[in-house]
Amino acid sequence: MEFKDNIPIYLQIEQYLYRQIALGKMKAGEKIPSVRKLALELTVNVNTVQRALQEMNTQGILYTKRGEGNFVTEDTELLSKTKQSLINNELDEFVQNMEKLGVKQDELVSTLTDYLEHSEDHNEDHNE
Amino acid sequence: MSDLLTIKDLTYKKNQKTILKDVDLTLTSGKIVALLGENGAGKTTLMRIIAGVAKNYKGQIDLAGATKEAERKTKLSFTDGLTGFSDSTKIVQIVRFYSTIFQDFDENEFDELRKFMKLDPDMKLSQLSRGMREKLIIALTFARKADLYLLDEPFGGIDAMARKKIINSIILWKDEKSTILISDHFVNEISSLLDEVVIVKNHTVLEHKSADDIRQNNKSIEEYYESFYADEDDE
Amino acid sequence: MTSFNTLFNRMFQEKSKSVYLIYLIQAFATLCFTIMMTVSAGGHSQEVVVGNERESINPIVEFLFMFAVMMFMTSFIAAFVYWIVSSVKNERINRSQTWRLIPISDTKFLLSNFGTAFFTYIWLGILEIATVIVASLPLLLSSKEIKIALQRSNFDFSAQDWGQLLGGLFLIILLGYAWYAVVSLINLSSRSIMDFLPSGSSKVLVFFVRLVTVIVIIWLLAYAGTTLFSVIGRFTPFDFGTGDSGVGTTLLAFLAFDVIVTLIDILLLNKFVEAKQN
Repeated sequence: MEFKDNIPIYLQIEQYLYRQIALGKMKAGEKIPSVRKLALELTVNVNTVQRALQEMNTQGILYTKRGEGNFVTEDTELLSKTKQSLINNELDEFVQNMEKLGVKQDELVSTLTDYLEHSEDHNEDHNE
Repeated sequence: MSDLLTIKDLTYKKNQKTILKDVDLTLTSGKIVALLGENGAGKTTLMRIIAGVAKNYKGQIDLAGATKEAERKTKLSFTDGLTGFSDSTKIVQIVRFYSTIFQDFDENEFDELRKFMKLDPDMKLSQLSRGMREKLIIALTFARKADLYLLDEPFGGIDAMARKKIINSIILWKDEKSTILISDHFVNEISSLLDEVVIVKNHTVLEHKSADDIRQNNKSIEEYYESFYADEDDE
Repeated sequence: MTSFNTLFNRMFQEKSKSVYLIYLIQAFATLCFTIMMTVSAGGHSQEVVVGNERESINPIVEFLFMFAVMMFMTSFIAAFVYWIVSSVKNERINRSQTWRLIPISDTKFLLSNFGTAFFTYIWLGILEIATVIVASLPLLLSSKEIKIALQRSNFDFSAQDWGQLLGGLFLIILLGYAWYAVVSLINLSSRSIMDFLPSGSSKVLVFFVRLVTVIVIIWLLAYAGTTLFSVIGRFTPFDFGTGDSGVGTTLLAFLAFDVIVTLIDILLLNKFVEAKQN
């Protein structure tokens, strides 16, 4: 995984794990990989992974079983909230980028609808 | 976090030239720390002084309660260029030397590291490429159980794959309580690993900051490091 | 902390490599010489003269005996080569980062370095003596006359003889030790001085300064040595009871000399002499 070097790595690891959970790669109640394994996978310091996991524990998205490791919460409400906040983040970014390109907020919906209607064509373009 | 290494008022001259002056540095245990500075800034000298192989310095050095050089040497593991061995020495012979000389050298751990690095124990030093030699040095250094590991420019002149292996071995074999000090004049390749950054410039330790603090200010570690040398261009 | 024994064993192992090499070269050279001599002798049956008796001997036995004699003669050259080689090795170890990173006090490090150099020399001597004895054994056993001559010879040693022999042995040990201690003194002190000289000097200048340093140190040593010997010569606290105070005084003087030089070496190694950067 590539990190942005101007944002604390532990925050980026949190984001990465949220995404994994939202994408269903880590499911509710499932054990997540060990700290060392995650560190190796992401090429980061074990301390940094630990810090990220600690924060997620405090937020309740993860819980620790003594001697067993970290598990994804089974609290579906919290999970969907997390997923929603991820979606909101993406939308924030999208809206901001569109504004930079001169697309005003009231034009957004029509632009997007227009885009989606033709998206099949776009996809075909990509496939070629 | 307990203090592991404390350096106070360290000054070192050689051939009437000041190499290090008024160095103060405190490292806590369990960290991965980069020692950054230009070539010739004094990074290697600082490590050699901590390791007790550079002499005639002024100041105090305390490593986990050890102030005498011989005692410090028991608590640290320093990457050595293996110049004490002839080119025809085989890896197994070097391992035998290490395991008899250093009480904290773990042969099983070395074997795991050796397999991870894909080194053949029957190879002679003269047969090793630069990258393989560096990997061997890292494996020997990490096979000791030390409080402080001093890695002096472990990535100098080696290819990307060897670098990746070495970085992964740091992640895998680092003990929770031990601290690793890595010197380099280029930070990109290890920046995601770091807890702290120490900048050596003008013959002294100029800055010592946590990596998160640097990034919190919306700066990359590379930008932070380069900012110390940007001033110089203006003058 | 690494124990003195561990380091001593390790250094002994390291240095015995050069002992084996020198021994093998010596044995091979001796073999060549012996063959050459046998060939040039033209295969005449040789006779050995013991007392007034003449005995003809087996050519193989004769060849072996000749080998033993040559081995004995070349051992002086081998010893000389060994002293040089081992001194160079000692000084390399003193400045090697690989060795200096070993967790042990500088005192033990230096004593182990000197000690192993000396003991490996004894090891070379044992190898040579064993070879000489084994190679000359066939002749000694095959010749009745020699056997009788050996039995007749007197091995009666008086207490005084033993004293002198022991004194001589100690003297050799102290002398051998002094050699290593002095070589180290010259190397370590000149290194320390070089580290204080301003940098950027040309190589020629550095070499010249080093040469001068070495000469000055040798001169100082010689001066200190003669002073020491004359002082101890005048003052003889204990006598070996032989009438002439020779052995006792010389031993004491050498002991004092060794101790003083070693102390200076330890100080230099501990405070000034760095491991070479690698």
